[in-house]
Amino acid sequence: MTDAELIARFRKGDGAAFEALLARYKNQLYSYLVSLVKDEAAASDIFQETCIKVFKNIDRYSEEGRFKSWLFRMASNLAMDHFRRASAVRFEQVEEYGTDEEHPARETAATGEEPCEILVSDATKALVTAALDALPPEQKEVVLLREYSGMSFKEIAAATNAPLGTVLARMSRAAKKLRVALEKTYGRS
Amino acid sequence: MDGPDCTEKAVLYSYGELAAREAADFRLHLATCADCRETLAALSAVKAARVSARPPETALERVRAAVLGKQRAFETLLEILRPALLAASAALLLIALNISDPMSRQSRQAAEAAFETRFAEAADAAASLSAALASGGGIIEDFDYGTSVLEHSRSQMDKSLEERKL
Repeated sequence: MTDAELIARFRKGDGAAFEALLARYKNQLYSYLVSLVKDEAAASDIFQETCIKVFKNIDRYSEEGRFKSWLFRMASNLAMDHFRRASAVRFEQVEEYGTDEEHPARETAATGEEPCEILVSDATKALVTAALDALPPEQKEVVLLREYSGMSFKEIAAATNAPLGTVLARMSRAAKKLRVALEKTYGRS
Repeated sequence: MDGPDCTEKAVLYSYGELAAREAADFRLHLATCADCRETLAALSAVKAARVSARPPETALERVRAAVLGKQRAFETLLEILRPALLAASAALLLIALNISDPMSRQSRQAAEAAFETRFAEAADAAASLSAALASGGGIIEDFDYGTSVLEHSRSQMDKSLEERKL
């Protein structure tokens, strides 16, 4: 059954159709959010907020667009709001602590550890994860949307309200940085 | 192919988004471009490092409660309001049909009384449900909608009565 058919059934009050849609995308969506925000608690909150917002506004869904694009666009917008809030909090903390030496994040930065970092099993995965984390949010967003949602770059452009050229430019810049990050470790082949 | 296009082509090739002819050209280019080979290797590493996570069950339960709870509340509201709305509509129709063919004072009063009773019942039901479920959050607008339908019915009835008096 297609997404559009499930949505039509859900609109008529079929709770099983909602469960089927949720089952279809929940892991993909949550994995994307965990990779993007690097904090399972925040990812869980954004996941809930996204699903509730999407299903609460299901009447606004147009069958011309793909449900998956709509879902990931909503998640992406909420994740970007999270980053904006988090950076505002960090700014306030820097003001509060005054010098760098006093800041509690200094120790974390020195050891390269993130408080809720996802554990990866091998060195390459850890390196790639670190390289992804070093990307600016808008570049990281494109890379992760392409990896986790399976949307084409054209669909990502529509989902993020950005021109296709901008999306491809962000992806290309990200790819160059990832290449450089891997070159530093393994050298040129 | 060297130049600013090079990395973009590698990206599109990596995700299977190049047309067949362009993909064939790019494969030839790969033999002579170390940067593109490394870009493909980096993107392959990104694919290999993908996280596979499942949302916590508590998060799923909260989503279910918010989405299906809202749906159930709306169904309950409709179930309660439907008979009252039908009765009110029937009374309204009866009054409207008799505008050009004056009904007896007794019939008119009976129809108006029936409407008022049903309207009051439905409004009370909507208000009670709104109050009881307000703590659930985010579902009040459905009850507001139910109440607005009733208000509309009442204004239509008042209008019909005014026209009849004229």
